[in-house]
Formats: sequence, C-alpha cells, structure tokens
Amino acid sequence: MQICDKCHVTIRGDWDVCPLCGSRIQGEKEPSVFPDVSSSVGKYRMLLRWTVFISVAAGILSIAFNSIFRAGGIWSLFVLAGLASVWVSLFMAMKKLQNMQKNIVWQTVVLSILAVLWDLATGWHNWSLDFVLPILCTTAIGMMFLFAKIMQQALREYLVYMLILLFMGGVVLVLLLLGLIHVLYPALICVTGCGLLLAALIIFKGDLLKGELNKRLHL
Amino acid sequence: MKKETMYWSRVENAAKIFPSLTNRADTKVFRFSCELKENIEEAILQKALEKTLESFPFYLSSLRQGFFWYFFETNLTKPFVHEETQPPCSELYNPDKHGLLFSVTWYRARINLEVYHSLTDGTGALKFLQMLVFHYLEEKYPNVKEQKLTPPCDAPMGERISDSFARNYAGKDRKVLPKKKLSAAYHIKGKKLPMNHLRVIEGTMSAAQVLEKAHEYHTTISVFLCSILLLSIHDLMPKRLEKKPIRLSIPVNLRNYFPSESARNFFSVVTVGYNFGKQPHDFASVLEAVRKGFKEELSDENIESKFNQQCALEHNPLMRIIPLSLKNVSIKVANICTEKTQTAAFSNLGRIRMPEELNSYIRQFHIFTSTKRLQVCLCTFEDKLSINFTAPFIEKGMQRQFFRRLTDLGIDVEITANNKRGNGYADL
Repeated sequence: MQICDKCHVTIRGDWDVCPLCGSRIQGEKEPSVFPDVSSSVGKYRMLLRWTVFISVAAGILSIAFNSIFRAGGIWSLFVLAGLASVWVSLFMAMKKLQNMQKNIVWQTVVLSILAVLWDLATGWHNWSLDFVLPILCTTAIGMMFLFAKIMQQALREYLVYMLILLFMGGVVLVLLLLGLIHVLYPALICVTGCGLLLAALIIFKGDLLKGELNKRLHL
Repeated sequence: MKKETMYWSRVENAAKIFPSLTNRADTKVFRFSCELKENIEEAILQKALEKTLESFPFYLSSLRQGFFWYFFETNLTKPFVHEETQPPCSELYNPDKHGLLFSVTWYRARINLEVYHSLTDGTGALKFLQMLVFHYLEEKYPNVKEQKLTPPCDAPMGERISDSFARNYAGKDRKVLPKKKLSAAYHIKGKKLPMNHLRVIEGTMSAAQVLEKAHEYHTTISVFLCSILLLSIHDLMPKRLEKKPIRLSIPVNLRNYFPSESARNFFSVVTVGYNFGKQPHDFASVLEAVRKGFKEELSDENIESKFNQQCALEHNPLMRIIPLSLKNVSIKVANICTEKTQTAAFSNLGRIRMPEELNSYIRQFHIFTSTKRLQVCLCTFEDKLSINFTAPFIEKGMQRQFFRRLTDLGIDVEITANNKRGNGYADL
C-alpha cells in the first residue's frame, strides 16, 4: 500500500508516482491491478502508407511528365482516374476484409459503378452494360458459392448477400428488356443463371428464404 | 451447429440507438468487474461461464443489420474466457464480424465481464456477473456447493429475456409532459490518449463513511457525490466559459418504475445541471440545486413521460419505414444535438447483494464504461463503495479534484488506475 501526501489517498498497484497528481509516493508497491496492455502500431499500417505514397507519387509524376510531353492530350487525367478507381475498390476490400461474402457484393457493386463511369468518360461504347455488368454478376455468384464451399458456410449465413446479387441479375434483365444491352450472350447467361437460382431457392429453401426476408425486412 | 433456421428477435427500444453511435472512440462497451480475494483459475471460470450461459441463453446472440432495423440472431459460437490482454472496453460490436456481444476475461483476482450496450444495460449485466461469480465460487470451493445456496438471480427465464419497453408502452393513451429545451452545456476539452485508450481511475471508500457525510448534509449518496462532481468539474472550468451550465446525464433504471425482471435493456436518461455563472459557488447551494433537480427529474410523471417519448419515437410510422442507413444518419445527428447539452455522465448502480455466505470470498465490485467525455460509475458491495472514472483524456485534473474534495471531508480513499506505463505519452 502506497500513500500520496498531496492527495491524502492510498494507492494500490506498482506506481512510482501518484496516479492523480503525479507527485512522489511512499510505501510498499503491490502487484498491479490492471495488466500492462501496450498495443503496437501494426506493421501493415507502414506497408499501407508506402503503397499510398507510391500511388500519390505516380499521380504527381504523371502530371509533371504530361506537362513536358503534351502529345496525346491530357493523358495524366486517365492515370489519376485509374489510380483513384484502384483505391476506391481497394479501400472497400480492406474495409470489409472481415466478411468475404459481403466483400464480394461490395466489390461487384463498386466495380460496376466504376465501369459505367469509365464508359461514360471515354465516349460511351456500351461495354460496361454489354460485358462488365453481366459478367461481374455471374462471376460474383460463382465466387460466393465457391467461398461458401471452402469456408463450409451454411446457406443461411450468406443468403442475404446472394439475394442482393440476384437483385443485380434482375437489373441486368430489365436492361436487356429495355434494349440497352446490345451483346446477348453474357447477359443471357447471367439472367438465366439468376432465374434458375431463384427458382431453386424458392422451391427447395422456401422456408429459409421466407424467414430471411422476414427478419431482414421487419418494420 | 449448422442449423438452417436460426432464431432471431427484435432489438428493444433503448438498444436500438447504440449500433448507430458505435465507433472506435466510443465502443459503447461497459465493464463489470468482481475482484475476489484469491487469484482466478481459468478452467474453473470457463466452467462457470458455461453454467451461467444456461440461464442467460440470450447472451449467445450477435447483432445483424436488416433493411429497416437491427436484429439479434442466435450465435452458437462457444465463448472462451481468457486473460485480459486488451485495453478496457475495447470494441465488441463490428458490423462485419457478427461476433458475440460480450466477453469474459480475468486478471489476477479480477473477473471482468465486458458487454456491448445493445445486449443489456448495467442492471442486466450485473445479474449475469453475479451468477458467474456464484457459479465460479461453487465450482472452486466444494464447501460452498454443499450449502446449496439460492442463486443471486432467480427471475423466470421468460421474464429475463422479455422486452420490457414493448410490454409497458401504453401507445395512444400515453401521457407526455412538454419537452424542456436545454441550452448548450460546458464541454470538457483536452488532449486524448493515443489509440482511443481510456483512462480508468477507481476510488474505493467506506460506504458507511460516505453515507454518514451525506446524512450530515441531509441528503443521499447520489446527490452528495453528484454535487461534488459538479464542483470538481467547475474547479478546472475556464472562467470565460462559466456562463455555460455543467450538466450531468444520469441513467435511470426503469425497473424501479415499471414491473420488470428483464435482463435486457430497460433504462432511460435524465439530466441534472448547475450554472456556476448565475448561481452561487458554495457547496450548500449546489447540493440544494442537485437535490431539487433529482426530485423533479426522478418523479413518476417525468419518468413515465420520458419513457413514453422514447417509445413513441420507435413506434412512429415514418421512423419505421426509413431504411436503416438513413436511420443511422438521423440518430447520429440527433445524438450530436443531445451531446451538446451534456457535460459528463453519472451512474449509480446501487448496492450489489450476493448470498451472504459468499461475501467473505469477494473483495469488491467495479463498473465503468466507454465514453467520449467523462463518466462516473459507482456501485457498493458490503461496505466498499467504488467510484470509477473513465475518460479518454490525458489530463486527470477533475478526477484529482473529486477525490481530494472527498479526502478533505475526512473520507479515506484508496485509488487504483490503469495506464501506468503509457506507451509514449507522459502521465500528466
């Protein structure tokens, strides 16, 4: 038991100074009541900082070089937009690292939006709707099943994410019906796959589906 | 383990706001500790935890997001006790992890129960800890088991997991008093500890001694200590900000007002304050104002009105159909407005009672909670009253003033604190 003459309190633990006022204390030290939890800054944080720095440097250098080599217009803008796109996608991936199935959904959504934006910025050749959207959606569903298999997840654990992807499949169907998609096969594969999957879910896992919708949509 | 259908349940009223307000700086986690007289044995604690969970199956849930509301889902992950390695009140709820919302750790003679606030409130968590300690002592000492003591918590299971907000809300027949508009209160500013660490300072004193002092001033322990806290905050308040009131938010256990034995959330919050710019600075005046504030705020009509307001918001049709992501934003905005009117928080969990035969094995209980400002929690076990401060700030002037004011009144105080070897920051 130690004593602080200034605060007139007794102190438990192995303190050198009074935890209240910081002045010297007298008496015998005792074992500490709280453990010493010194947490360190992760080494990954340093790695992340270097990656950010390198990409920022690449952006700055590309602007500098562009101002010297002017042939080909303002190509540095593409470099900057490319870097930004990579970082948006990477940021989402890191943020959702704890939950891979959620990550798949987020990546699909983010990459689709980025693809549409790039298509828009480069004079709209419709490749984002013709290819990227349906192929991303199909691949994402495949990856979701694959990941569930590897991690031995039960359907109920990722059903909600599956439903979001099926909704995306619905969007592809609408685009197809509106005639906004000009290349048939990727979209057809996506829509057919989603249709089969939805039918299977309703027929074989109807109760689970109903329960999931119930709890996710309760008011 | 891999059952296809899982049980889920609605999140009750007061618990609904926590997930929107949880971040690394304010984890909305609180800790209840029980300090025994002998060091803890991990294997026995594990057994005790498993036994306790049989009476509190609701603790095996995780918090998930729906489109309109959060909900609880059964999570059959087996929890393990382990030695304390994380800073107090570290993150428990992470929207991407779907983990359990509590953890049991130990260090030397202490058993720590950390709980995410959506799961339960202080009173509910206390019941869990009491049962845990009860089972631990039964497992550890055969002679305790032989006595076949009555467990400290014997509410029927259905009662324990019931949503008392839903049960006690009168709906359209509700009585609501006009809302008082509060001005901005004084906010404590200071340099924060790195890595969102919390500074914990616990003061232990004789409950009888404090009660005697409180009685000398013809008042209760809560009013007495609240007044001292207000004065201590005022001691370090810059003179130019004195026109702003110092306000304490005080959680109220609704189980004292409505019939309930729920071990889930069932609380409301009231506010008591003092304006040192307009009112006299002497102890007697502060004490009188706090006493009056307590009486008004804790009156049956006021609590009922608060309770009804709380429930009405939840049942508002417009509020219900807003998607969760928008609810999160509106709750955050509303919270910024509420926080402006508060300086610190003061929470008295009252007297903790264990079966008498076990008292000789237990040294004391502690409770503290994560906070962005200054939070004081107190509880009493036998004659040991522990007053626990948590704050994210490096400076600890207010804590020092508070305990010095108590020792000046002739009360003996024993201090424990964490953060002895701050990593890289000076102990100011």
